Amino acid sequence: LPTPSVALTGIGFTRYTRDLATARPVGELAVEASRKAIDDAGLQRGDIDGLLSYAMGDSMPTRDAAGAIGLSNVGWFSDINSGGTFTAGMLEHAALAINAGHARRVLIFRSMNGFSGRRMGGGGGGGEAGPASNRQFTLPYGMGAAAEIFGMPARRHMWKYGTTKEQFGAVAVTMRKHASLNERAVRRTPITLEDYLASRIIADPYSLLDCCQETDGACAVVVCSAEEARSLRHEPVYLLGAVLGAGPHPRLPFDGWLDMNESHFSTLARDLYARTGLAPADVDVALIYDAFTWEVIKQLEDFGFCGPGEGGPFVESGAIGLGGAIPVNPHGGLHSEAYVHGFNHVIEAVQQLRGDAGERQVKNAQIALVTGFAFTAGSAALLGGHDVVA
Amino acid sequence: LSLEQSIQVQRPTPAADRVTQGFWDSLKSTGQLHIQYCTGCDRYQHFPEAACTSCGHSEHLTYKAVSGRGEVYTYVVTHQTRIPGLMQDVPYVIAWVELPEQAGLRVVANIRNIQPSDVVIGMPVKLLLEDRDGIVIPQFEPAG
Repeated sequence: LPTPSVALTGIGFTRYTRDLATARPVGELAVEASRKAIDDAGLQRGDIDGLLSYAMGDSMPTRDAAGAIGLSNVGWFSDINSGGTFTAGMLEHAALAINAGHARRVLIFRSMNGFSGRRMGGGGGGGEAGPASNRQFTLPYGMGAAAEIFGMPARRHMWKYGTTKEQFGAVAVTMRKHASLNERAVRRTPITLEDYLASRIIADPYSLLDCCQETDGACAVVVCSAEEARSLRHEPVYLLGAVLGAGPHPRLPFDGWLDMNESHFSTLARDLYARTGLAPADVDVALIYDAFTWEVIKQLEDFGFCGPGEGGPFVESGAIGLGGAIPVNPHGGLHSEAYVHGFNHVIEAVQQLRGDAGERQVKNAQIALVTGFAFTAGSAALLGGHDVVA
Repeated sequence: LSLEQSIQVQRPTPAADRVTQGFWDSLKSTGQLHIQYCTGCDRYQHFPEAACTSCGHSEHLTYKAVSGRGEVYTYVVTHQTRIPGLMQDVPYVIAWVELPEQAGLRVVANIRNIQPSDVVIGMPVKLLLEDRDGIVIPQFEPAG
């Protein structure tokens, strides 16, 4: 293992809600999650000198947030215009700023009102269908929602490998079962495969229960040097390595992507394992970006937990459940815990590696994978508990 | 109407811009699908771009006719849409139709004149012109 240079030392998150009556402004959510993360790290606001966020025009800019949180001296700040692509990549951005000497303690937040505020995709709202000029080639045909864009490679996988709706359903049932153990999940009532198969169709092959939960909420993380982290309140969770990248012509809706049987994640996975010297068998718990069920199946293949085309049977075997070969999203994932553009995956990874995950704790979890999936582009990170490095 | 306005009141209609004007004009005037083409690289690209994504030049870009044949590369069947002007049309098929002129060259279209449940990957399709409020848009239907 390479010696990690930075660690995650504080986490904070708001309640995750789907309730118009109690919705709060995104800035308020950002401040709450951020202050909690700083407290959790055992730091003061004045200790934070770096601030990063990612958003799609739906959040509070870092310059505004710096004031609202009460940061007095920000040496580095950056707003990334992106969605789930950057879930894990944000951690590497913090590491770059720290390792370059621009900041010592970086706060990262993602705050969004994905339920009560600006929703992803749709006809005229979010930018999921690409630049405005490209929408003339998609919107007249009704293509605009994420399910319609991301359903396309899912259909190819079903055709090429015989992957079934029941296998998609195994992901949904598992995510919900995990969420039933998680008090902060927005959907906790277990579902059966029959429930899944009976849920209304949105964009076939995707039904309602293939889709994540549009959520209001915010998550925040404090990153500092590995050395300093060892003197703070919690045992450090080390950033062992991260990758962020895109293949040729990666934009939505994948109009320039040559082969929709392949995502960019086999490349990212190879690079991540090479960078860290780790292998799939080393990973104890996987926080896999699951905006839609099939994405889990595909990434399990791409990250080498099973072979190409074997993801369907693999999830059906029980391998991704608690106690399985590779427990996936013990918090219930974006599917059932919340959709905070994947940053809630980072929170869960930290809790698992601290051993703080309660009923849903993966036994002796030491290494966690976190991904941010956008098919043709994305990011992934490997995190390690204190015993891995010590 | 802009595209954003049109989706609120009717089936969305494309709003051409400087780069894409030739796509829509050529289709309407000839009834044949034309795809942006770089004569320097002998290469099609879609969606249209301000410059060829291969050589980086714009001066060799034109719109060149294609056969109007294709096959369904992949598709979804939309049962629920947030686009007001299309709510009356569900369920409808949205497909990536691959054109035989070049590997990976694809257009988005609805597949018409077939039950959505009968659409399969690989099925041959052919161009079908739809007149939508005076604007001709390319659609596809089963071929033979």
